[in-house]
Amino acid sequence: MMGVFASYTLRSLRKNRTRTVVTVIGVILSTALLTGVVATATSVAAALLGRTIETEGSWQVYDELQPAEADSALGRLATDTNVSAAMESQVAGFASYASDASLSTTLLAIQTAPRALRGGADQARGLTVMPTVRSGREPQGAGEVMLPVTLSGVTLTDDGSGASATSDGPIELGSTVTLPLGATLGDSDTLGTPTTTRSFTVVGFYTPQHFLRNDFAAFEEVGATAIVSPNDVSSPTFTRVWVSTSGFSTRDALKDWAASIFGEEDYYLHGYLLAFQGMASDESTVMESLRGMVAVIGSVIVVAAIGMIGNSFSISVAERTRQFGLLSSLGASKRQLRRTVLMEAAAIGLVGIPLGIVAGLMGVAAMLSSSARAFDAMFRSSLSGTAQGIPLVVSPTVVAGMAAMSFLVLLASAWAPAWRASRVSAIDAIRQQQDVRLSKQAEHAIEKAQASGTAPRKPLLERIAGLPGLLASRNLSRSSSRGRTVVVSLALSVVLIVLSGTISLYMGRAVDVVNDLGATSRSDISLTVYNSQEADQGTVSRATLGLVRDVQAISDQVEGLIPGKVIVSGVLEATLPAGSISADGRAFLANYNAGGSSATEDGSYAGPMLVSFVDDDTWTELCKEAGASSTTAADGTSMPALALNVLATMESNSLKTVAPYGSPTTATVYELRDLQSALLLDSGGGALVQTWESTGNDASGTQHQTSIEDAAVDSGSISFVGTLDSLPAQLGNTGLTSSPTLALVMPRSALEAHPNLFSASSVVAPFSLAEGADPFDAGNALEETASTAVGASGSVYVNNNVAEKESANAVIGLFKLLVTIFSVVCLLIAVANVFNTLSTSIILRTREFAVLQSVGLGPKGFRRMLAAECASYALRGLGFGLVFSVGVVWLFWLALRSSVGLSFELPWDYVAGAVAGVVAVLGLSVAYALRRSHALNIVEALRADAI
Amino acid sequence: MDILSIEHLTKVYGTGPAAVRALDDVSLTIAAGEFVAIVGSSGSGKSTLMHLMGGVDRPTSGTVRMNGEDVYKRSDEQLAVFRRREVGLVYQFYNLIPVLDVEENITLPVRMDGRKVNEQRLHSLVSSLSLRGCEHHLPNQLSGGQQQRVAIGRALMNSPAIVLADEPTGNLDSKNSAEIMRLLRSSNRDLHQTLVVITHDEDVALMAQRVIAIEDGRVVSDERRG
Repeated sequence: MMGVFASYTLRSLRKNRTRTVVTVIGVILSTALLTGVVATATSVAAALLGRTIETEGSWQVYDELQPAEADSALGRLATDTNVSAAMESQVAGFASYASDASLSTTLLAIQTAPRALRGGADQARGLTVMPTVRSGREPQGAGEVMLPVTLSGVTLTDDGSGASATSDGPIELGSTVTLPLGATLGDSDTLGTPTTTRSFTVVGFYTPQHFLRNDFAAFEEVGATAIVSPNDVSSPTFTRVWVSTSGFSTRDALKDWAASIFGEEDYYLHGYLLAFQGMASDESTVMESLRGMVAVIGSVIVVAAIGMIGNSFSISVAERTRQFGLLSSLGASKRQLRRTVLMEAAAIGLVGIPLGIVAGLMGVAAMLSSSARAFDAMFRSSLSGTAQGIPLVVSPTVVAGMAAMSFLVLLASAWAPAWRASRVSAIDAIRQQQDVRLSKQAEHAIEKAQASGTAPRKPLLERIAGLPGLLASRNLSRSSSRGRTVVVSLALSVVLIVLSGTISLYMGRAVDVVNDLGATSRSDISLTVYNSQEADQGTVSRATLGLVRDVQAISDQVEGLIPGKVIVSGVLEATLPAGSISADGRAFLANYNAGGSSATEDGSYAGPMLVSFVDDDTWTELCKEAGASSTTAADGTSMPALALNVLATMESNSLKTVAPYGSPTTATVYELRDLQSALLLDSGGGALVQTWESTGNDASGTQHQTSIEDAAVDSGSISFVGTLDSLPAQLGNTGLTSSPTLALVMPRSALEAHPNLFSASSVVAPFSLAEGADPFDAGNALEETASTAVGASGSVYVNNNVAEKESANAVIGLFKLLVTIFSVVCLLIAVANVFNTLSTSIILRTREFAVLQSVGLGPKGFRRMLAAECASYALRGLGFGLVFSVGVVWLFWLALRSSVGLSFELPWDYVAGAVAGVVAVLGLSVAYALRRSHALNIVEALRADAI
Repeated sequence: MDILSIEHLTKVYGTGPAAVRALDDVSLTIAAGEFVAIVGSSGSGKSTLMHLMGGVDRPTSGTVRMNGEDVYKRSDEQLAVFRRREVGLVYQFYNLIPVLDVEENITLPVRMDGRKVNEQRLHSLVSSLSLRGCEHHLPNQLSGGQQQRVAIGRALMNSPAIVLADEPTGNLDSKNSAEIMRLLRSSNRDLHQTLVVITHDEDVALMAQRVIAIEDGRVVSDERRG
């Protein structure tokens, strides 16, 4: 059966339906916001954990077991109840090799394919990143081996170390390699003596892996790993184990457990993963900043919610002071009165909190799915055409915690008003006169008037609006705490509106600036293949020209991409005669080559230059653009070139361009004997060659200078046929102007004729996206196809400008969305606050209004009185709000200014919106209150029972 | 000379079966300088009659003429002007504006009119109401009797055509009641202030020159005394 107080509570809630609804909405909003923030954080944490598992594997503990300890440790791992999955791989030893592909000796490890100790095969392999098979298959039987694709086509030869790997020719599938087994790897890469040597058949090639992620087949000291089948090693030099556990909640517990198996401090922990699993050490910054953000935003919400709900309850109590007095006179105890108010809070919470949690979770789910692209960009290692996003992850415990916390916030908010209600005395019920408490200032003025007998000084509003102004000003001073609530809420709303406007404005402009900087007509997608071969210039350049053919062969094979003209880029060492370099160019080069300037007063130059080689069609186009007649003179005597007369640099956040060339006519290009040497000018203006000679393994060395005649192997002459004043669209992907080095453009035929004069090391192929093609899928397909085609002869990079831009825009859009959601919800809470406060303060004065009207205050005067009151609120709210906004915007601008050059600006449309919003909220509240209160019907208001 | 004439005045609250006929075809006139008491039991319609005389409510039918002019032909704005200039209202529960001090409450109707306060009249009013020294007190700093004297001051300040008092002594002890009635009577006798007092206090009714009794919204008796 419902007690009399419970039923009284429900009735008062029903009687003030609008305020109850507004309060419930406030509770829903703050609960939803709090839930949203926490659910977003837990989802992000789960996504980070997922990404870490995806890119680094799910191992928690890793160790390299020496043969002596292996048996007992492996036995424990196979039976221990805390192990959820474990995997081992035996290392059979190390080898060195010499090869035709590389000039230096390299190291090779030999290890077995993984064997699961605990858990299913898939689960065990998921403990770390397994090698991706590029061709062939993994080794299955005895005598089979899989090698990194970098060794494909390479012939391994004995380097005389006594532990050398050899092959029967260039390695391909089916080749035989001979590997020494049992050789250990000591300090400074010295190999031990092998116990045996065995032959293996190559059955597959895999993509090389990364040591830093602790990938399956990667070692710190060793460049390549040969993988043999699991049971093919009889006596391993050591055994690698990857383990994941269950049942530990702290890092210390996990460490104690690991120490009992692997020995104290004799193992590795997967720090990132443990941090995301809640077993963080002190240095886990990501989780800490995530928690910090949740704490800051959460406490802002809690403070706002306590303010809003508390205000609503103190209004509810003030409105019913006489009812409480009456109840008290009828024998209600203080506890019963207090409970009445708290019961009201509980009833509101019962409705508002579940709705708020549901709304919050639905909101986060909607946000996660609508911003899937942005979350892909942030939390996934690979992007595809269909954005996957991250799932909503939140545990029931967290939801229950949110509910409990919201309930506590609600009770805390209602506590002070409940206390006040319990202190209402029976006398208050009997007294007819409402207690009037004026502000200290107004009280002081009246006291002075009483003492002196003269009338108090006229307040400002009276001077402006006459008697209605006097009434308004006295009313404002009467309820100064309520007034403060209204003004603070209005100011907060203004700040939030202006702040979210500022974020949109500056984010938009920051994106524009970034786009401008990188906008030099880059293609939708570009493919760059680097030739990392170490050989003489002629060999490298010829190989690079071979890469051009590879790239051209695949360029029309990728669906959704339209190929453009392929460009070869490289460097050359050249001298330019007097008059070639402008004064600006000299200053620029001196600035970048502190120490030895490569350009002299008379405008001559010696040093490195960048060059891009274009096909004949493009060459003709560019010559036309430069106003030169196109000659492709490949006769060997003189090569034509266009000077690219623009260098762009970032100087204090703005793009600056320099025209470095004077009037260049010719250049002499040299092939130098030593790849480490470079041309420069001596103090007298003569060109010489400086060579760096390292004296050991470390970075020390000496440099000595020789004459060009001694150092040069070959030379050629270049004649400038024209000058390009800006980077032409055809060369948009080369980045030719963004390096502080002189640049020129030449026809590819020049490189073909004189490959030894240039160090051409990269090939850039631009692509444009076909109508309707997906940039992510097309980019992935291009990378796949190019990697296969190029193989080990180069490294492939796909610069996916469209996808990057799309991802960046998605991330920015998400950020804006989050700021907007947060601002809008806080704004609604503030508006609810204003509405409740203002409408109640008017409803409470209904009788007074009626008296004023009955003694002759006309509708006009009445409206003027309310308008004067609202104007005072509006002006103070807007005043504080705008001043504070400008401060916040300024701080925001300071923070952003350093990264991108932006001028200070206010989002004026949002400022106007804020002003309009303030006026609308005040108007709405007053209109509602007047309707509710019958304030315009004098007779009814005068009759209205005071209770 | 009749200052107020009421013809066939009817006021119905609500509609349909819930409708209450608070006044039913009431006609009467009040002459200038008269002191009239309207008596009747609670719910008889006497407060409704007073509100209609004072231009506070609007009648369902019938007319109220003040100095020959139809009060309810006026717009709301004009009606407000009528209330502040021609009518002085005194309520049982004083109904002072809590944020205004004594002087401000008394001068409220004058200041609403935008006119300058006649300091001399204010002074003499404050003196005769024995409120000297309390001019700048707020209502809640005063006793009930003092508050009612402020309300009377407010009603008289504009020298209205008619003062309407609704149970002016209903909330006061006998000593204060006598004082309030003495003030109202003296304003009627000395200043020829037309005065209508609604009461169910027989002592109060006995002071009046004329007693109108209302029952169920109808005038049941109208007695004049020598």
